Amino acid sequence: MVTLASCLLYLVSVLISTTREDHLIAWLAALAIAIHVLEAALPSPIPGVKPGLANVITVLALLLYGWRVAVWVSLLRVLAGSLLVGSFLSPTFLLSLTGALASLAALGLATAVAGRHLSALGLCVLAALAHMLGQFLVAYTLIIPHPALLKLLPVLLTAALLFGLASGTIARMMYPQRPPAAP
Amino acid sequence: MTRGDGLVVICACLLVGLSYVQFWGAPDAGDASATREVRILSGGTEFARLPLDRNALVEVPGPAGITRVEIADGAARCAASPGSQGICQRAGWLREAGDMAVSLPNRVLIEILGETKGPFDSINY
Repeated sequence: MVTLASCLLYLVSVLISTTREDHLIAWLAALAIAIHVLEAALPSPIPGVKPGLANVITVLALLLYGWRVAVWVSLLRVLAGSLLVGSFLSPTFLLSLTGALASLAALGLATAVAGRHLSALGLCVLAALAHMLGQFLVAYTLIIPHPALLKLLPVLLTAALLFGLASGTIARMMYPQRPPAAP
Repeated sequence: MTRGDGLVVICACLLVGLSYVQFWGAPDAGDASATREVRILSGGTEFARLPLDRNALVEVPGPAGITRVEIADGAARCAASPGSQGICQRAGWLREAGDMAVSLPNRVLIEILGETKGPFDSINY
C-alpha cells in the first residue's frame, strides 16, 4: 500500500514537474497579462481599438525563444487576462482569442518564410494587422454581420498599423537583433 | 529597420490605403442615381423609361385624361393627374428605387427602377 502511494506520488511529481521553459513562459505570460489588464482600463475612442502592447511580449518571446513559447505566452495571456478582466467566454474574449490566433499564425508564417529578414518592427506590424483582420472577420461574420461594419475597417486597420509600428519600435528597442533561424 | 521590415511596412500601408479605397471609395449612390431610371406604365404597357438625371416633363395620355410626370433633381413626381382624389400627386417626389405613384383612374404607374432594394415589399393605402 505504501509503495503504491509512493509510486503515485512519484508519478504525480513527474507529471507536474516544471521545466525551465515553463518558468520562462509563466514569467513572460505574467508580464503580458499585466499589460493586457492595464490596457483594458484605458478608454478607447472606437470599439476594437487598443494599443495592443502585450503584442510586444509575444514578439519578444518569439524572437528570444521561438514560436512555441510565443504561442503559450499569447494564449495564456488571453485566457488569464480575460479571467481577470471578467470577459471570459464573452464576445470580447472570442475576439481577443481569434486576434491572438491570427497574429500567432501570421508570426509563425513570417518567421518560417522570412524570419532572418525581419526584425521586431516588421513582426509587430504583421502581428498587429493579422490580429485586427482576424478579429474583424469574426466580428463581421458572427457578431455584427452588417455591411456598415465594413466602413469601420479602414479606421481599424490604420489604428492597427500605427499601434503595430509603435509596439514594433518598443520591441526593437528592447531586442535589436534579428531572430534566430526558423524554428 | 531591415529590408524585410521596410517591405512589411510598405505592404501594410498599401493594405490600409486599399481598404480606404475599397470601403470608403466613392459610394455607389452617385452611380446609382446616374443609372436610376423612372418607368412610366400606361394601361399595363410601358409608356416611357427615362433617366432621372435629366429634367423632363412628360405627358402621359390615359382613359381619364393626361397625367403629367415631372423629372427634376434626380427625382420624379406626378405633377398633375385627372384623378379626383389626387392620390398620384400625393405620393410626392419619387427618389429611391421602388418608389412609385399610381393613378388608377388614368391607369398610369410611375415607378423608380434601380439596383437597391426598397425598404418595403409593398405599401397598402
